[in-house]
Amino acid sequence: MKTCFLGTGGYTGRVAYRGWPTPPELCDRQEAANSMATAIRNYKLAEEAGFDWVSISEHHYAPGLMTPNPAILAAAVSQQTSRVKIALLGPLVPLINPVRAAEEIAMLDALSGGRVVVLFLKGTPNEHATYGTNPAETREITQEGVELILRAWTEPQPFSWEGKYFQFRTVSVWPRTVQDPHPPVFYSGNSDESAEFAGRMGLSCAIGFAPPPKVKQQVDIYMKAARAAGWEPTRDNVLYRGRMIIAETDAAAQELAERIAGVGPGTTPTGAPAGAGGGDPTAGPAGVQFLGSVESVVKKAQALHEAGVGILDVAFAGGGMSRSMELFGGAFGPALQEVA
Amino acid sequence: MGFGSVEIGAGRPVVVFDPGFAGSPAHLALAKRFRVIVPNKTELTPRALGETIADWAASEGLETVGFAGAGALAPAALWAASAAGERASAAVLVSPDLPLDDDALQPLLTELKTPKAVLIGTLDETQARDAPALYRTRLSRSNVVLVYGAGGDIAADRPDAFARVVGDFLDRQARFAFMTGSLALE
Repeated sequence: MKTCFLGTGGYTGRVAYRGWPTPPELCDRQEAANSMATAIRNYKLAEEAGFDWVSISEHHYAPGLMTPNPAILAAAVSQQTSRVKIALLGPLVPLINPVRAAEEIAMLDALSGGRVVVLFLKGTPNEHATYGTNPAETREITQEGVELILRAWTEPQPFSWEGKYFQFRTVSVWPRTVQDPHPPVFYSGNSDESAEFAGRMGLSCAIGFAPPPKVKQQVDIYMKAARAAGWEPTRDNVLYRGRMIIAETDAAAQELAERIAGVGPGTTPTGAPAGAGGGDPTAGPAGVQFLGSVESVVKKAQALHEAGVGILDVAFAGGGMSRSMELFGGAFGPALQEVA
Repeated sequence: MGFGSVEIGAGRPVVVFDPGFAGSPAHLALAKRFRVIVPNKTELTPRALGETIADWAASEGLETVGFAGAGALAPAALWAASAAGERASAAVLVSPDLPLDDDALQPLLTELKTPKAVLIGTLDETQARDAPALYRTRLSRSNVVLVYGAGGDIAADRPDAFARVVGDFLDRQARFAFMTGSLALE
């Protein structure tokens, strides 16, 4: 099983505010710089600890995830790492110019020597307020935007795009992506419709925060659509995102989880609805999908593997990043590699 | 012209070689800005049809005329533009079924000065994956427009988009690459 470290680019100072958006005056300017340096340091640690991928999300107007343009942080990470895949998980298509995204990701693929992976998402409801997007249209906008980006990467000649939501009279992206025909592209598999779209379009599939039976259900929809489109995904085409607390014992992990329970939605490091656990009854009040000792967490990973997952994208919750990373590098990472 | 046609609208003339287009929502949308003439179905070859229409345009004393052809009648738009010479303002090929290796067509593909647009629906499975690049490289002075969500019958699938793109190309040809709509609010 492959593993992906989800860093947060989170604000390292204290912010006593739980709402969204968070007032900019609460951001200390120097602490912003410290936060970015910390984020990059954590990504380097993740590579050293043995993660296969590192991932960066797009979120706006809040201190928990200060990555409104994930490509910028990814570009910095690409120069500080050499082995890990760099996953943009993901650009929020309704909020961005898809042609600009195609250009930026192509640049990033060149900067990283072809290590980019990308997941296109439609974003959470609060984020649709960021640039004035109509929430009712986000699914359609995302699907059209993804098709446009794929065309922008693969058409060898300039073209015009007459879409429903996007119109461009000249598209001709330079540089081309290092990976041919383009970096691996994931799409959300959280809803039935999006899982079906991913399979039909030949994309990989990402599911977040759900319990294994729900994951299995979504993977089945995805696989059925892929087979109908004439291709057969493998587990490497299915990513699962969750929050993780690992400790020496289940009790120690549980104690950490209880300490972070009740964290507000504006500050959850993964964007998961705090307290809900994405519908996973085992996630507990802190919404942590992987909770416990190495053995317990590997057992959960095994259940997800059996549901069809091949890549785990995990955010270490509740602080203790260094210790979690040590445990990952020591026992957990190698144990996960054995899951098959 | 020796055969009937359906004509709607006023303004600069455009001939659409696609009998099924007559009276369609796309026809009505395009006719808000143009005099849109759709020849009825005939037994003429695309070449004979195009040349006949070019003769008719000359006999009518039209100063400029645009041509559009769909599917197997796309070559008629090229033949008409070639025969009309300076009178032809633009040629639009919609979901073209164009025999690119046809010897007789070669001079039209490579030498015809008339600005050309090629419209291809993103859901049109009859078009090869490399069709957009092929048309772009084989047709001189051409723009390729991918129409999202449309199959082989773009005018039926996205009538307003069809009218917008074709109308704008007929209006502005090479300047088509630049949008004109303003983002400014009152």
